[in-house]
Amino acid sequence: MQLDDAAVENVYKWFDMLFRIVALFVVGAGAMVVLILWGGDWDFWTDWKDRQNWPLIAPVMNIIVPALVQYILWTRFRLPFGATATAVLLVLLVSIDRVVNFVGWTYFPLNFVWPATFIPQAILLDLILLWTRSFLLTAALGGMMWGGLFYFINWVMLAPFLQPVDYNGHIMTVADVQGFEYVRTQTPEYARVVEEGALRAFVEEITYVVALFAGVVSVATYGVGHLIGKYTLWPVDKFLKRLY
Amino acid sequence: MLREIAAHLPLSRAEEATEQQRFTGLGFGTLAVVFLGLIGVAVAFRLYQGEYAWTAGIDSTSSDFRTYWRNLWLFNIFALGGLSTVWWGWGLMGCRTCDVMRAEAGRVHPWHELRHISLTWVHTGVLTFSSLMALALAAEQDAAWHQVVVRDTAITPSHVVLFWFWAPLFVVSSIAGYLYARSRVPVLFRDNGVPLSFIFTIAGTMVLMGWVAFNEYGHSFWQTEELFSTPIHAGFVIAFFIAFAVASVWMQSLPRIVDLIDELKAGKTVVPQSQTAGAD
Repeated sequence: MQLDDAAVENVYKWFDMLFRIVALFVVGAGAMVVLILWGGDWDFWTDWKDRQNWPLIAPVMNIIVPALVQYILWTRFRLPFGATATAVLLVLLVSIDRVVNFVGWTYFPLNFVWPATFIPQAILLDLILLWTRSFLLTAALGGMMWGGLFYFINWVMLAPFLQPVDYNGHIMTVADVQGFEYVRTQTPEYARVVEEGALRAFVEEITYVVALFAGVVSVATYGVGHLIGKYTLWPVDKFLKRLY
Repeated sequence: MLREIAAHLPLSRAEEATEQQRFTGLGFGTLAVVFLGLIGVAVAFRLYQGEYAWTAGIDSTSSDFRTYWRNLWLFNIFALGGLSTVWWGWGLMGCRTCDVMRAEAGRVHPWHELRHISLTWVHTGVLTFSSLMALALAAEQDAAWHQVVVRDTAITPSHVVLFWFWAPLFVVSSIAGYLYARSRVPVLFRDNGVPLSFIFTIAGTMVLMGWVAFNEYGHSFWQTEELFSTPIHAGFVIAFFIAFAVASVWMQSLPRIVDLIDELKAGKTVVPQSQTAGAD
C-alpha cells in the first residue's frame, strides 16, 4: 500500500481535524471550570459585578488557561492565537450555558446573568507575544493589560445596570434591585451588597487602584498558566523534540 | 483470560479479509457515531431535566421524586457499570487483525496502526467531551439549579446527571482509552512501560471522583455551599489540571504518526524490534 501526496495530505488533515475536536472540548472544559469554580459567583450575577472583588478575581483567575494554551501553541506549533481561541471558546460556552440553564431552566433573566468578556484582552495578549516573541514581555505587558483593562472593557455592558434607582427611599443601582428581585440560595440579606470596607468613600478612584492590582497579580498567574502548560507536556518532551 | 476466549472465536473477519477490508478508513464513522451519540445523550438529559425537575425534583421524599430521579440515578449507575465492563473488556481483548498481521508479516501494517492511533484519539475525545460536560456545562447547570432550590438530598436533579453520569464517564473513558491504547498501539503505550501521559490523565479523573465524594460530604456541613467560588470546590480545578495531561497522549502520538505516514508514502515498511512476531 502506497499513498500519493494527495492521500498523505488527507491523512494529515484528518489528524488535524481530530486534534481540533478533542482539544476543543478539553480547552473549553478547563477555561470554564476555572471561571465558574474560582471566580464564578462574580461572573454569574450583575449585582456581584462590583468594583472591589470582581475586577480582581475574574481576570486574575481567568488568565491561567489562556496562558496555558498560548504556551503550548506557541512553543510547540508557533501558532499565535492560543489566548484568543481560548477566550472565544470560553465566552461561547459560558453564554450557551447561561441561556440554556440560567435562563432556560431556572428562569433568571439574561440581563441579570450575562457573562463577562475576555476576548479583547486575549487578543492583546496574543498580539504582544507575536510582536515581542518574548514570554517575559508578554507576561509583564500582556498580563498588566489583561488585568488592568478587564473592568473598562466590560464597563460597556455593566454601565446600564449601575444607573441609580430610588428603591423604597434608598439609593440603589439597577443591579442591586435585580438582586433583591431574584434572591438566591447564597443571598442572606447581609451579604447582598458585595462591596466592603471604606470602598464607597473613595467614589471613583478605587476602580483604578483595583485595576492596577489586578494587572500586577495577572502577571503572576500568567506564569502559573505557563507552569501548568510546561508540566502538561513534560511527560512527552523527549518524544516531541524529534519533530523539529 | 479474555485473550484466550477471543483466540477460540472464529477469525472470520481477519482470515477472510481482503486487502480493502483490512485497510479500512481512519475512523470517521466511529467519530461521528460516538460524538453524535454523546451530544444526543446531553440533549436528552437536559430535556428530561426541563420536563421533570420542577414538577418532581423539589421534594426528595415524594413518590414522584422516586419515580423520576431515583430511578434515573439507579439507571445511570447500572448503565455505566455495564458500559465500563463491556468497554474495558473490549480494550483488554486486543485486535485479531493485528495478531494476523504480526503472524504474517512480522508487524502491524502502518495504515492499520494509524487507524488504531486515530481511534485512541477518539477515546480521548470521549474523555474530553465528558470533561466538558462534567466540569463545565453540567457544572454551571448545577450552579443554576442550586441557586434556586435548597437541596434536601445529595441526589438532586442536577447531580444525577453531573455526578452520576458525566463524572463517572470521565473516569471510565480514561481507563478505556488506556486499555485500548495499550493493546492496539503497544509500541507507544506498552513497550516502554506504563506511559506517564495516561498515568496523569487517569489520576486526574480519579482525583475528580474523590473530590466529588469530599464535596458532597462537605455540603452536609456548610450551608454556604451554594456559593460556587468556595474553597471546597477548588479541588475540581486541580483535578482538571492533572487530567489535562491527556494533551500528552496526543503529543506522544505525533512522531509515530509522522513516521507511519512517511512509510506509507515511501511504499516500504520497516519492522521495529518491538513488533516482531515473537514479541509478546
